[in-house]
Parts: sequence; structure tokens; C-alpha cells
Amino acid sequence: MKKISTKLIILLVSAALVPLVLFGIFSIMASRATTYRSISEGNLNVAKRAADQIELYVQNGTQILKGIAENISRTHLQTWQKETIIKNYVINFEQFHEIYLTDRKGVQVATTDLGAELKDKSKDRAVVTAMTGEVYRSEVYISDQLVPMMTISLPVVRLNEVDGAVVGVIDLIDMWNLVDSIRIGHKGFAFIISKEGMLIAHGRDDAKPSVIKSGNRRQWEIVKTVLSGKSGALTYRNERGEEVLGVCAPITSLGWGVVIEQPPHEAYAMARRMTYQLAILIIAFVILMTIIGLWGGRQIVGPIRELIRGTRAISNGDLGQRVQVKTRDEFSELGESFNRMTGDLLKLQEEIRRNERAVTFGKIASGLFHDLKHPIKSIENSSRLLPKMYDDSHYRETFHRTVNREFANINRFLDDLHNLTHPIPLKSIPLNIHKIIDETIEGYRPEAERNGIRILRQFQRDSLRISADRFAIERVLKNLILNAIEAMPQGGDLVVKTKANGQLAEIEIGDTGCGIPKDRLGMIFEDYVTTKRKGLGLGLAISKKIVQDLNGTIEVESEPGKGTTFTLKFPLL
Amino acid sequence: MYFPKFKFIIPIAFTILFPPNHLFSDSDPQKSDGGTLIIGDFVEPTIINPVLTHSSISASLKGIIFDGLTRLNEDLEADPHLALSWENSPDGLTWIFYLRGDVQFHDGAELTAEDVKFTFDKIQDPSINSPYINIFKNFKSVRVKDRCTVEISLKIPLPALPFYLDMGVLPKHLLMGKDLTKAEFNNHPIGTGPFKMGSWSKDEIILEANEDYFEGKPYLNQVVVKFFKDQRTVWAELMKGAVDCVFMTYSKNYDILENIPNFTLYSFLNPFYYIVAFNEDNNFFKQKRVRQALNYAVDKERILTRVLRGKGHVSSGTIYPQSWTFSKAIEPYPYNPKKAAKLLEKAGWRDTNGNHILDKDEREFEFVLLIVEGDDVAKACALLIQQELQDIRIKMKVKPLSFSTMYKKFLSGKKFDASLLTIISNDPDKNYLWWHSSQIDRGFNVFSYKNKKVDELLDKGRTTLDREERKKMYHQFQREIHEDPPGVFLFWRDHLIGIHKRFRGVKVSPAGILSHINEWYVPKEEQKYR
Repeated sequence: MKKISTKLIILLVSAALVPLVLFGIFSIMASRATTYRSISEGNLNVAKRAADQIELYVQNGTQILKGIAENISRTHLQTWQKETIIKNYVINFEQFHEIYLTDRKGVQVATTDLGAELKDKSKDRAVVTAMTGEVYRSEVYISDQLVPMMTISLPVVRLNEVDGAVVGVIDLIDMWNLVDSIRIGHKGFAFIISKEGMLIAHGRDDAKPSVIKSGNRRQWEIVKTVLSGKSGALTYRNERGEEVLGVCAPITSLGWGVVIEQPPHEAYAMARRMTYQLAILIIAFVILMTIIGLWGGRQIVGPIRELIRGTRAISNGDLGQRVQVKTRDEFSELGESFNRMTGDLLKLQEEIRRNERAVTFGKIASGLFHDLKHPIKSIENSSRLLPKMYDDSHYRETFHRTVNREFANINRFLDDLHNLTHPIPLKSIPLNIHKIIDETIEGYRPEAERNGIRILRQFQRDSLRISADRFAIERVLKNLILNAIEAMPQGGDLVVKTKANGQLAEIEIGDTGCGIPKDRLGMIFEDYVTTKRKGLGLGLAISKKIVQDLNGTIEVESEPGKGTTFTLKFPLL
Repeated sequence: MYFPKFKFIIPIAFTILFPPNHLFSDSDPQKSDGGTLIIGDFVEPTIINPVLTHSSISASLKGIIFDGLTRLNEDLEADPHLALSWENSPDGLTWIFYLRGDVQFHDGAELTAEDVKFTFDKIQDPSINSPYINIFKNFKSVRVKDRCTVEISLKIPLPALPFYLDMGVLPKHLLMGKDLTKAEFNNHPIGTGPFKMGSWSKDEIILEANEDYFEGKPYLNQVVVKFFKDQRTVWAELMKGAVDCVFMTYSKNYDILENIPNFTLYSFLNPFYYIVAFNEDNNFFKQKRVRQALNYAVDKERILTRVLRGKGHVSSGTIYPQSWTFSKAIEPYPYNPKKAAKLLEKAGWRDTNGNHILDKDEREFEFVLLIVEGDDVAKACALLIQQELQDIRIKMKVKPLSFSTMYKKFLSGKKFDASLLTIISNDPDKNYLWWHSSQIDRGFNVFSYKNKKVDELLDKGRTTLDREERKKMYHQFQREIHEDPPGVFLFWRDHLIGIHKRFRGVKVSPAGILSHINEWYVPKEEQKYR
């Protein structure tokens, strides 16, 4: 019963769930791919913009120096005035650690470094490059103050000739504020890598000391990518061992790179939230489907149960039962058919009973006729001769014997008939079965001899004792012996055997008569059936009933033409 | 978002699936012995001797090698230290100090009243040229009453006496009959403090914990002071992790430190003032008007903002703004270059030759400002001052020098024009040492600043016993020195200290960053050096 509901739930849940899960997995995968792409692209755009900002920052330094160079070249100022100008720039543009000017020989003429002596810088690469009329931008280097710096220089041109150089030393720590402002979400930080792979600035506070430690980052995959001039996105473990989504963009004009790292759990927070929601949705569906399955199962199983109840009632013989199925579907149709069927069955049963009664009555009537006809006829025949042969003493004796015998037969028949409906109470006492058998055999010996029948006893040597009602067991034995005698009208052997078999006493009564056909063998212990094809055949039915009441069994074996053997078994005392 | 109905389910579901972790209680770690503190600095110390020292780092170190009779607390008042208690006579002329009896020098010798008398007598010896002479010359006598009792008789009342006696006590048994200025002792000082001198080289000084310190062995095993080129480098070394503690960080760099989780930052208003002090022997600065003009010409607010990012106060004078004697009534000189120009004109300075520099009597107004090498703050200030003075046509050159060179070669010989200095003012009486005319010949008044009213007020402030009276004196003193400024008053700055976060129990105060060093500790598992 429960199996149907379970099957139904599984069916419903899987029918609803499989497509849902498939859809979920597919859409999560699809959205993962797209979010990964769109987040990487978004971050990459930030990185590119940051790269532009950094570029602008450095360019700005160059522009300022260019402005200074033009001021210097056009104004024919005295040295102290030039010095004032460059100092003002250093005061107002904090990215400049120092600015100095050289003459056309490369010797310093003014510097913002207070108290410093003016030096010959003609061998300095910054000055040498500027003297050729080019703008010079150094690589990032770690200054003697241990901070990253870079030098920019450009020529001071007067009348189309290089007249000196203006050199600015840029303190890249000043760029940190700018790098700090490049943020994605709460945990996405940027760092800047120089051409040599040196860390110049890091937006994450606890990584700032590593700028000073100036470790080289060139071996990092993402740094390699960006220093090769490519932008891209990668997922990797950063120096703290955390998984990050890194995007990078090159700062082309400087050969530097910007890298922005963001923990994926923040980057993909949105996609993750969607996955969670989908998971919750699936769980909710499973719960819903289970509830529907339980409810639906009850709807279907309910009528089936009602029908099962009905059929069970019928099988128990209660044809008056009706089922109540009001589902207005095939089940209610089935219910109606069932009710109709039980109605029809009831009618049919009554008709059968009526017929059976008629048949039984007929059978009984003919049995009664048969069983009573012979003794009555016998008595009638004997009686008819009475007036004529009353004086014949032989006749009288015969008459007397006949009438007695036939009345005994009639009485026995009437007793059987009575016992069948009103069983006599049994009174069991310990008995020696051999003695009872002998007494019974002796009673039938004359009749057997008359019919040419030998009665053979083959008893076990020791006596067999059972607990039984003496008269009842006598009746059984009489029945069986009489049957055997009657089965051998042409004479034969009647063999009575006894033996102990384990805890049972076995008594076999066999004849060498005509036997019983196989198809009838199973019915011989039933009422009104007889192999003798005459009378009601109550004997065996009553015998079986008595044997069963005495806790014994009765079996029959027969072979048509050879004979029949009845076996009685009773528990030994 | 797409399933608004389920929004409420998510938190519930997650609470079931992932119950929130219990917060771990963040209890104080066990105080444990061990660990080394590495201090970075850029001013190399001269000598470490409590009666001689004047540079700032040696002042810090002498404070942890030596103990004074008193110790200054956070309010810069004297608390008992080697002296358990003291009393003075109603006339303020006799003081009795009762010493603890359980103090040993680093060499195991016991500290007694004899050592205290020896120290005080030494200071009064003019030949050793102690900066404390001006206080101790007022001592009539120092008498040892018994092993643990010292009686000091004074010529004049000195209410600030316990304040000065935080100065360390020398071991008599080691220095008896020796020339204190030349003694080997100055390179290997032996005191009673929580740390004792280990080794001293050009680059570093190593101090070892004093196991027998009378307040118990300090938690730290070692204190190392390393010397670097300048403030910026020290900061970078701190960032690198080579140094644990940095004093006086340049504000710009301090801002960066502020957010880095490895460091704990401390700050308090340092009782030192920044001043461009003039040498009044120099003709440029003789006139009060000129000195006033220069005060108007310098935009201190701008300097404070640019150089210190506003971390400090513009100064109006020489008394610590947190002192009980400070007068709020006196405003700093406002930035007024026009007024400055007018004052200079009145004083006779004009640009007669059109070279954009003022001149008078055929002398250009051109002077040299001495600054301490490596002090990025001083350097940045000098640059701004230089530009501002140029506006009023005064030419100022800047010369960075190491502190010891500056002091020995230029200041003490009075061979200078002006100097950008940071001067201690943890007690109003300190002004006596710097600005009283009696200190011109032998003392810190190397500027030859002379003002009769100032002298009188400093004398009275020093000797008046009544606190309210004293306060009045110093209020008047502030008015007077403001009116006749010995230099350009710049600012009081916040003392910014970055210390690695593994150090706990750190207590810093205007009385000294290391004054509670014996309470600092590093939890065992965080100890970096053993």
C-alpha cells in the first residue's frame, strides 16, 4: 500500500526535479562562464583606467619639468631666481623629491636639496640624455632612503640649442595615494610593477611594507603577462596564499604594469548568491513535491484501499458489503462496477443455494429410498410368506433373523443420520485396540464366510493401547469392515493389520475388491457420497468425523480392480 | 533578487547549515620574558651621562640606564622613584630626600646617599660644564644624613627642584677623582636603570636587561638603537621590519603607517618647540623689530599643514601648551608679510641696489640657517621659510649639520646666524636655561638673548613658592617673550611614534617614550629575536 505512495512521490519529485536540476546546473554553469567573463572584463577595464591614471601621473611630472624648462630658457633669470622657481615646484608638487638644473656642461647650477653642494652631473645618464635633446625617464630604482624613485630629465633649450638640463627626482611613494584609490569592491586592491618587476606601490595596507622590502615579482605569472605588454585575467594564489582573481594592464609608455587582485568570493558574490538561491529553490521544490506526492498518493490509494476492503469482505463471504468511492474518475466507475458485481454475486449465490438444496433434497431422497428400500423389501418379502409358512420352524428362524438384521440396518442408518446432525459425546478411556478389533471381526465373520471372504489378522505382537471411546471406535471399525465385505461380492481377502509407528498406532483394513476410481477417491469421506453407488454413504463421513474427534487420522489408498486399504492412526498411550 | 519570496529563507537555511562561529575571546596574552626592541633613529648620541647629555636620543637612553630620585609622570610632575619621599622646610630652602635601600648599580654596588651627593656635587663643578649647573649652582650644600637620607640646602627657594631631580644618579665608587668629561665611563655608563649598556658601535647601541632592577627585571631582554641616515630611511627600515620603533616620524609617512596592521601608533604633544632662534650678537637680529618682522613673515599655519599635515599646534611662545603655566591669552604671530616689510623698513632695511635683497649700511640681509641633518621636518620647514623670507627680500641659506657638530662648532661658540631647533620645555623653569641672560656665558642661551623683564620674571617664577603666583609670573613671561621674540616661534608638534604591534604594555607620555620600558613585553609566540 505504502509502496504506491512512495513510488508516486519518487515519480513526482524526479519528474519535477530532474529538469529543474538540469536547468539549474546548466544555468549556473552558463552564468558562471558569463559572470567570470564580465567580471574579468569589468576588472580589466578598471585596471586599464588605472594604467592610464598612472601614466598620466608620470606624464604630469614630465609636463611640470617641461614647464620649468621653458620658464628657465625664456626668462634669463639669475641663479637664485631659478632656484626659487624649482623650490616652489618642489613645495607645491609633492611627488618631486628633488629638482635640479644644470648648465650646458652638465654641472648643477641650482638644486632644491637644501644645503647640498652643487655637483658635476655631466656623467649622469639623466643629464647625458637630456643634453642630446631627448626626454629621459629612468627605470624605477630604490633610493638611498630605501624608497622607490625615478628620475626624469629634459633639455633646457635656448635658441634651438640645448643650454642645460632640468632633472626631477620623483618620489613614487607619493603615487601611493593614487594607487590606494584604485579599488574594486571591498577587497580588490591594485599594485604597480616596474619594468624590472619591482613592486612600486600596493593598495593593500598590509602589503605596503613589501614595497620597501623591494622583492622582485618578475616570476609571477601575472607580472610576466603584464610586463610582456599584454593585459589579461588569471586566477592564482597571491603572496599571502589566498586565491585571487588578478587582472593586469600594461602602462605602455613606461613599461610598467598595473595588477588588480580581488578574492573570487567577492568577485563572484553575485553568481554565488544566484547559485544559493537556485539550490534553495530546488530544496523548496523537493519539499513541495513530497507534500503533493503524499496528498496525491492518498487520493489514489484511498479508493484502492476501499476496493481492497470490499474484495476482502467478499472473500470472507460477506456479499452484502458495498464500497464508497466518490472520486468521480475511473476509480468511482470501478467502485460502481464492484458494487454491481457484488449485487449480482449475491443473487447468483442464492440461486445456487436454491439449486443445491433441490439437488441435495433429491440426493437425500434417493439415498433414503435406497438405504431403506432394501431392508424394508427384505422384511416385506419375509413377512409375505409369514401366513403361509408360519409353522415352518426353519422359516420362522430365518424370518426372525432377517427381520432382526434388517431392523438393525435401519436403526444403524437412522442412528447415523441422527449422529450426523447431533454428534454423540465421546468418552475416551484407555483401550487395547487388538481386543476391540477381534471382537468386531468376530461379529462379521459369519457374513464374510457367507460371501466367500477370508478375514486375515496380522497384528503386531505387543498390544497397542490408545485412548478412545469404545463405541465410537467400534463403529468406525464396523463401517470399514462392512464396506470391505460389501466391496467384495465375489469373495476375497479382508486383511486387518496393526503396528506401532513411532508414537502412533496404525490400523490397516484392506480388501481385494473392485477399488475406487481415482477421481472419486478424494470425495469418499464427504456426506452423501458413496462408492457403493447406493444409499447416502454416511458411514465414511461419520467415521472420519469420529477419528478426527479422537485426535486420529484416516487415509485411503485404492487401485481399481485390486482393492482398497484404509489406514487409521491414533496416538499411542 | 529574482526570487524575493525566498529571501527570508536564505538566512534561515544558512543559519541551519552554517551556525555562526562563537567569537573567540580576545584575552590579553600572557606577559612573558624575552624579546628585543630595535629603535631606529637618525641622530647619533654624543655621550650617555646623566649630568652631561643633551641630544634627544641620548636623553632617552640615559633615562633607561639611569634612575633619578624622582620620575616624571604623564602630567610632567615628579613622582617618587629612587627617593621614596621627600619634605621641604616652609621657607623652601631645605629639602630632605629619603632613598629606597634596595637599589644596586649594574656592577652590583649598592646605591647610597653618598652617590647622590657625589652626583650633585659633580654638577656644581664648573669644569665639567654640565647643562644643569644653573640649577645646582643654587645649592648651598648637599649633606648625607645617613645611608638613605640626603639633605639639600638651597640659596634660593626652588619649587621645581623635584622636577629636576629626575636626572640620573652616578656611581661614586667608579668616578671618584676622575675627569667626568673624559672618563671611559661615558662610553660604558653604569647606572641603576632597567637596562645596562651592552655594546656601543657607530651603527648601534645594544642595551641588556638589568636582571636585578629594583622594580623587577624588565620583560624585554634587549633594547637596540640603530642609526640611519635620515628620518625617511628610518621609516623605510620600519616598513621593512628591520626596526621596531621609530620616534618623530615624518607626518606624510606616519599617515601611511597608520593603516598598516603591523604597527601600533602612538602620539602625544611633544613638550619640545620648534623655533628659528637667532643669534643676537649678529647685527641682523639685534633689533626687536626685525625679529618681530620675521615672525610675521613666516606662515606657520601653512608649514603646519604642509609639513606636519596639521599634526601639532602653531606656537605662540616657549611654554608647553599642556603646562599649568600656559597662557591661552597670547596668540601666535599671524602671517602678515606686509606688516613684516613695514617693520623691516622702519628698522632701516631697504632694497637700495635693486637686487631683490634688503640692505642696510651696504650690508645685504643674507643669513644662514642651521638645521639638523636628516630631520626631514626641519628640512621641509626650512624650504618653506626660505621661500617666505624671499618674499620680503631676505635671503636665507640653509646648512644641514649633524647635531653634535652644530652644537659644538657653531652654537656653543656663538658662530652662527640662526638655527632651527627643537627645545625642550617640559617645565616652565626650562626657559631659564635657554632665555635667561645669566645663561649666555655658560649655559644654553647661546643666542645671547637678553631681556631684563624676562630675566626678572624667570627669576621670580623659579623661586616663588606660591603656585598661583608662579603661574602669574610665567603668564607675564609669555607676554614678554612674545613681544620680544628670541626667534620665529614655529610650532609644537605631535610626537608620532610607530611601534611594531607585537609590543604590548607600551605606555608613552610627554615624560618620555621609554620611561616605562620595563613594562613593555612581547607575547612568547610573537617574539622575533631571542
